[in-house]
Amino acid sequence: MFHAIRTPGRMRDQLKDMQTRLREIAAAFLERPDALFFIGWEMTPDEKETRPFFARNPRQAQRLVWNDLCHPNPASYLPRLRDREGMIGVAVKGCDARALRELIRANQIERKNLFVLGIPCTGLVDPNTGAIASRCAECQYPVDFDYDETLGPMETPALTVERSAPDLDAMSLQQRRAFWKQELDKCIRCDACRKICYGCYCPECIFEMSDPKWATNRGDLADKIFYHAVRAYHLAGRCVGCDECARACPMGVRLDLLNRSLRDHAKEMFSFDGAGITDEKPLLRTFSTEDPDPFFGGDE
Amino acid sequence: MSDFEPKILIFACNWCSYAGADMAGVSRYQMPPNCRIIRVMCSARVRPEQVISALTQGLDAVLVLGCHPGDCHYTEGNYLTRRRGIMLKNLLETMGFEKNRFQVNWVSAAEGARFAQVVSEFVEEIKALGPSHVSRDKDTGTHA
Repeated sequence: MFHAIRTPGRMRDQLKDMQTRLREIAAAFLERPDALFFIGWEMTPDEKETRPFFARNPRQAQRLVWNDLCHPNPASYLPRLRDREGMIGVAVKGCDARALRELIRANQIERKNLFVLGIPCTGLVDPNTGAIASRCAECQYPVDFDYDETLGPMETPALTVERSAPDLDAMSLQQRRAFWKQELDKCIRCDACRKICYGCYCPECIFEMSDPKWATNRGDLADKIFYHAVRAYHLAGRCVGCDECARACPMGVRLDLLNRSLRDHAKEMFSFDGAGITDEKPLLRTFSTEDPDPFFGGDE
Repeated sequence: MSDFEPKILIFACNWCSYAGADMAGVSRYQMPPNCRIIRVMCSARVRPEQVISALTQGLDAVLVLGCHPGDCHYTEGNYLTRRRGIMLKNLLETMGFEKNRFQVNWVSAAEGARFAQVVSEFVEEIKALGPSHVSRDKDTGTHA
């Protein structure tokens, strides 16, 4: 999932300046009487990674960081905070902004209760290798959102148009089958991919239902195909392409490929550009009488 | 695989396709015995989970039948089915299912002959494909 491009060293200083301003803006926001907290990132105790952080007062705002390790999406905490009274500050990079826009469109959070700080992102890196994440290298999306404040012009870096391997569409059926058998064999059904996703906010998840009991936990291939097919399908037309599912996976399953393929097909079949970019109705809640007709069998 | 008898699930909408099945029966058309029909109020009522669940629990194929586009009893249900069906079919293909294992088709209440034809052709296609790779894994005990 990571490209072999490294962040130029000079970028680090630029990010330091942005971090200072992030702390100032967050502290100023937290001075407001109606402010609940400001969601951003802090360093983990070992200083190797970042983790989400809720700053509750101006002093805590000094723990906030911005650097090229800020992978977690702060906006993904908002649906469960929707009933809190008061203002919530949130720092978002481009992909987080798309997720936030999608959450607002889906009525999961109200815009008026948010203070949104946009951070121009120049690509995040893998904490172990320093290579730029492929989601960032391939990021082609506009970062269109009505921010309350930004740390600079919000632009998409567009580092490469090359796609990370493997290309499932180019594979034969047998190869795809073998590929998924190998990938899904690694899966331990820990639900990390589901927990990390900004879009998984159903109060009762289908995988936790006991009546009807949709999902079992036998751990065989059929069970895992069900889990991952349903998980991916539930995000059809809502996935913003942040690849957090694949990053969160402790076993390194290439879950990003499933969602990428759904986004590709949505674009190809329905000219649907991707979630969080427009305020159109969601892909699967609308239709056109001009949609391709699915006489699925022979004619393709 | 000529002696292979697939197990096939059909979701038929109450207003068109299920009545079409009835018509096919009343008109005494010959139909293969491989299908189990579930009547649903609308083809859009079929959840993708139900299709995926059927395919991973050992059924060889799933067919969703609804009213012809424009004729839906609920005005737009089958248009939604169409869009969802295309996305689901593509996802299943990406995950290694043959593209014909899941199909959507339209049969009206008057089309008994068409119902018999669509179902017979579908069963023939699935017979040619052989058992689903998921159920094959199960039978031979080679699953992880």
